[in-house]
Amino acid sequence: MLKKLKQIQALNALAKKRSVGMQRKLMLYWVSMILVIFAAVIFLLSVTGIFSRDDKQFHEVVEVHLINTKDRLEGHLENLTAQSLNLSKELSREIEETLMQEGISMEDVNDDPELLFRIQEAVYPFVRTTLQTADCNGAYAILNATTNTNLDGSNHSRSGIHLRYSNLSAGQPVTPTVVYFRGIPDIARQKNIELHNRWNLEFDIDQIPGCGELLKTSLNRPAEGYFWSTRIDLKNTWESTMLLCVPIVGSDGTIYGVCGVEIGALYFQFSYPNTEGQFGSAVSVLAPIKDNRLLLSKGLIGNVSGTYLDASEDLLIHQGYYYNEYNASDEQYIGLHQIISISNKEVNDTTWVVAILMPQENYIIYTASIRQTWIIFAMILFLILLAFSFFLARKFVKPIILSLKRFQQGEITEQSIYSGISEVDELAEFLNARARNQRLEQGELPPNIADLFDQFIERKNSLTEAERNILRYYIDGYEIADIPELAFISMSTVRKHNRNIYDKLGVTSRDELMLYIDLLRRCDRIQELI
Amino acid sequence: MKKIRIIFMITVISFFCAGCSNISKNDEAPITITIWHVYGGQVDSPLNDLIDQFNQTVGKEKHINVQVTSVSNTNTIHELVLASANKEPGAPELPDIFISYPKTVLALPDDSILIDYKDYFSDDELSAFIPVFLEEGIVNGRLVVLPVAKSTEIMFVNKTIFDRFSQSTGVTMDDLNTWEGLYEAAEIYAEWTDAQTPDVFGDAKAMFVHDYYFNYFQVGVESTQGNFFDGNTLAFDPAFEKTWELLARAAIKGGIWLKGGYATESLRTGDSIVSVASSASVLYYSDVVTYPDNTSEDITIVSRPCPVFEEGEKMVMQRGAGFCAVKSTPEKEQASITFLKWLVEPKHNVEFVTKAGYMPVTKEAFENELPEAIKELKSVKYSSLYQAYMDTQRNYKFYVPPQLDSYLDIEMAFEDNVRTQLELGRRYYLANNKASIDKIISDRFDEFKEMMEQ
Amino acid sequence: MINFLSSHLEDCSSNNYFCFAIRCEVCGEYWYSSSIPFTKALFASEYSSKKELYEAIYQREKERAKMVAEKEAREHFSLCPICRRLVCDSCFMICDEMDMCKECAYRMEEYGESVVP
Repeated sequence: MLKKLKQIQALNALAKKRSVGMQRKLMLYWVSMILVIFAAVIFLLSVTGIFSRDDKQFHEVVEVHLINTKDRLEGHLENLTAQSLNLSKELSREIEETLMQEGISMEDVNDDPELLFRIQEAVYPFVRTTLQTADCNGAYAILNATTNTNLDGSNHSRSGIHLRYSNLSAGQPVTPTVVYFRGIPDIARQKNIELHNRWNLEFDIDQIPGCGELLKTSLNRPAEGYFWSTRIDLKNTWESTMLLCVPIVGSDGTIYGVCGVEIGALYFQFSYPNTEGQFGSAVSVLAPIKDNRLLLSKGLIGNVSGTYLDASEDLLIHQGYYYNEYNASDEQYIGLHQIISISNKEVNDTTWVVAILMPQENYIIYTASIRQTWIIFAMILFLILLAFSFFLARKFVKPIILSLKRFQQGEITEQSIYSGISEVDELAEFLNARARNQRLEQGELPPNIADLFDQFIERKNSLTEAERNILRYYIDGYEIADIPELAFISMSTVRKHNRNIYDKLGVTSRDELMLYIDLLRRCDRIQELI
Repeated sequence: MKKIRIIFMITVISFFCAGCSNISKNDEAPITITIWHVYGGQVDSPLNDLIDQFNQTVGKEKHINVQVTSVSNTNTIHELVLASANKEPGAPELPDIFISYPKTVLALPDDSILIDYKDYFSDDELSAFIPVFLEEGIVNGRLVVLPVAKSTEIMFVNKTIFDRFSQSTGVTMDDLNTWEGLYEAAEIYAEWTDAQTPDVFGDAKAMFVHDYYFNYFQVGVESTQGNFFDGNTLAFDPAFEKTWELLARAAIKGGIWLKGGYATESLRTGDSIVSVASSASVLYYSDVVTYPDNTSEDITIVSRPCPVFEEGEKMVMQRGAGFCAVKSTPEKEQASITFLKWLVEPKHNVEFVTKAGYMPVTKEAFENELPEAIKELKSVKYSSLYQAYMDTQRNYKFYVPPQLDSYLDIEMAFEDNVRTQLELGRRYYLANNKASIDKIISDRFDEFKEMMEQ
Repeated sequence: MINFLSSHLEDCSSNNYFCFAIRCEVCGEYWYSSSIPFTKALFASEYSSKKELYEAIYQREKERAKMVAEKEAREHFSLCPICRRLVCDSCFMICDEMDMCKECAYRMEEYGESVVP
């Protein structure tokens, strides 16, 4: 803008220095006028919000979308939580029963594969039922016990069962394949289900943030301490998942273990499809937010079709008036987010948000197409005004130029100079008068006067000698009355002569004759008359 | 005066340019194509890595985004494809690209929903492929299955435990070269493991597991001058009986793993130590065995060529499915083809197959890229696999199963029945206090035959 | 010219009127000036005692009338530059080279037009 201002200043300076054509100058005034009006119009439009209409519309669309997604997600997670709490209660009862039969506490289960097998056998149907009834892609139960306490890392290894669906696809499969991710393989063989390719006997609870702490606490009710873990990579697989961790609480308040369901990244992707709208593809995101960053690497992303959203990136948030900007390393997204409460007791005070993200590029293209129409419209209007001002300036200047041209070619007569503009006419007249005076002052005759004189002198030749004699008296300054005395002729003779002289010289009165004589004398041409 | 005009024009133009600058960047939204494949199952998928690579490079350039929507096995995909092609309620929508054997295409109600690759690949491009691989993908005269990676059956051995077994019994790795030798070793292994816990009766451990007994029988019968198929049914000729007898004896004595699941599972839990499976399953073999007491042992897996019959021909099953592309919009079809062409470029193809345990599909990849790539392989599991590949390729004849409509049904019934009958045999054998084994073998065979002929 | 004219003026005044005449030397016609009445004509006849006075006034008025007559005559008489005679307008010819009397013009074969036809 500053640059442009400088350009205009330079232009102005240049225009001042040079004598600018009237038309161009007029054009310049017109154009500056147009630009000022344009600026005013644009200012008015932006003040009235015509230009931010898209942003506003975008905000409304995304907000509706966000609210819908949030409602759906809240319902979904609440449902899962309810089912997991139920699972927890049932498992608690089952485990308690087994322990009572044996007359031992949970700690005594350590290093007892037989007992663990029995407990897992008892737990399996509940986990399986939960997997089948809940809207999730995996269910699990971790027991606060391990098969072999003598092993390295046994302090974070816990026995348990983890069942997952393996053939996820867009629709909820009618007969999903259940695979056995964690647990005693004999149960899998007994139930005729496949072992996961990366099966392991026990859970590594260090992989699940917050799980170890949960096992160490003491609670009255499972609902007091459930939480969703951040998204974790399932070791050695390409999948990642979020686990709902619900404590299995014994009647004495000890924690028997943790159970719950999982929502895998792929499952979430299928469950929350993107929506294609006028502004592009909108992606649903459930992720924690920390230090003004949306941690996609720890949350779940819906279907990303139509975008390059990468689940491993963390997005830097720039809050905006109508929408926020979310910056990935090489892509920009825009959208909105809202805080959602999904856990009862958050680990590390994680704040979860639901967000709707769209690629900024699509939005830019969308708004650009609208802006383009604006600009084209403005450009056309501008060109029309430019042409109009050109036409007006031309029309205004044309008669002036025309008169000037005639002036230059010397075709001036009092009438032809008329330009239709009083000032110009006055100027022309003034110039004319001045030119005339100048010529007279310099002794120069206006060309027609000279002609007149020539003609007059020419006519003098037709006078007779007698008449010339009379004329000479006049030239010598005598009055008519003096003539009879001087020439010894009667006044009648004089009059008769006068009549002849006037006729021949083409004058009507003695005054006129005397004017000629006077003028000729002034012009030093009186000799020619004698 | 001219200067003023120029400056004026520049000013006006710069006004407009300021407004237009964003328009010039007129990118399109990416075309997303979906894919179902089998490479990787539940572990880190080498194809997914390659797809990421594609999306980040060529995909970004050409606005194509390939999305994996299912990684599973061919049978599951077969079911899903048929369900969605038949528009069964609850069936998912067909992806743009899926992995399939010709058998899936044959079972489709209408195979014209698939792209004929001849429409998209020039003759030059097609001639770069190894001809046998292409031929397998031609169904009803149309090239609908594009080979991307081919495999064969390979024997995997848990060398760590086998060496231990070998030291105490004298059975060597070379004994595993023939089926006869292998089954004998399996019987010895069963006795050896049974003897380790004398107080527990019949807790022998199986040495061997075959991924597809159906394949074992098919190749076995064909390699010993028999006929496995008789039209659309099984022939059950004498060669079959001999193949049965050998397997059944070892199985009933406890040397063969008969429970369900893939061969990799029992090797993972130490329940078996030798397997014959698709070379591609190398990806799923873990280098750790975890025992029921949660103790783990690091092991070495080595690959060897598939065993053969002493009197038979050296023959092995040719495996490996290909990609089918589903017809849709021209843009999507073109995007699918762009991805597939990228994937079969020798460089990417070899990068993919060596990670997944397959063979590349183009001549150039086989001749130039593969040997270089093999040199780079660090893991014994993989280097021995490619050693075995070369060995197999040099000495074996590849067996390609016939294209039968009923192939898959027969295969599934066969697999179930073999395992059930042999398991029953084992139980009778133990119940009979390890007596009258020959009778059990022939009884089970008759039963099996009856089940299959139903 | 006036002196010349006055010498040609012939007095034909009466006691009551003043009048003068000029005779054209070419045609011999007389021209009479307009008669001007003597202002004290009545008194002069009645008051013979003041005869000298009235005589003087008469003379003065006659002089004045003569001057008027001269002026009047100037309207009608020109001097022929050839023969140096006083001629009336009817006998004075306007010729190309020079104006002259009828007779001179005739004699010198100059063509012209008389001032009064």
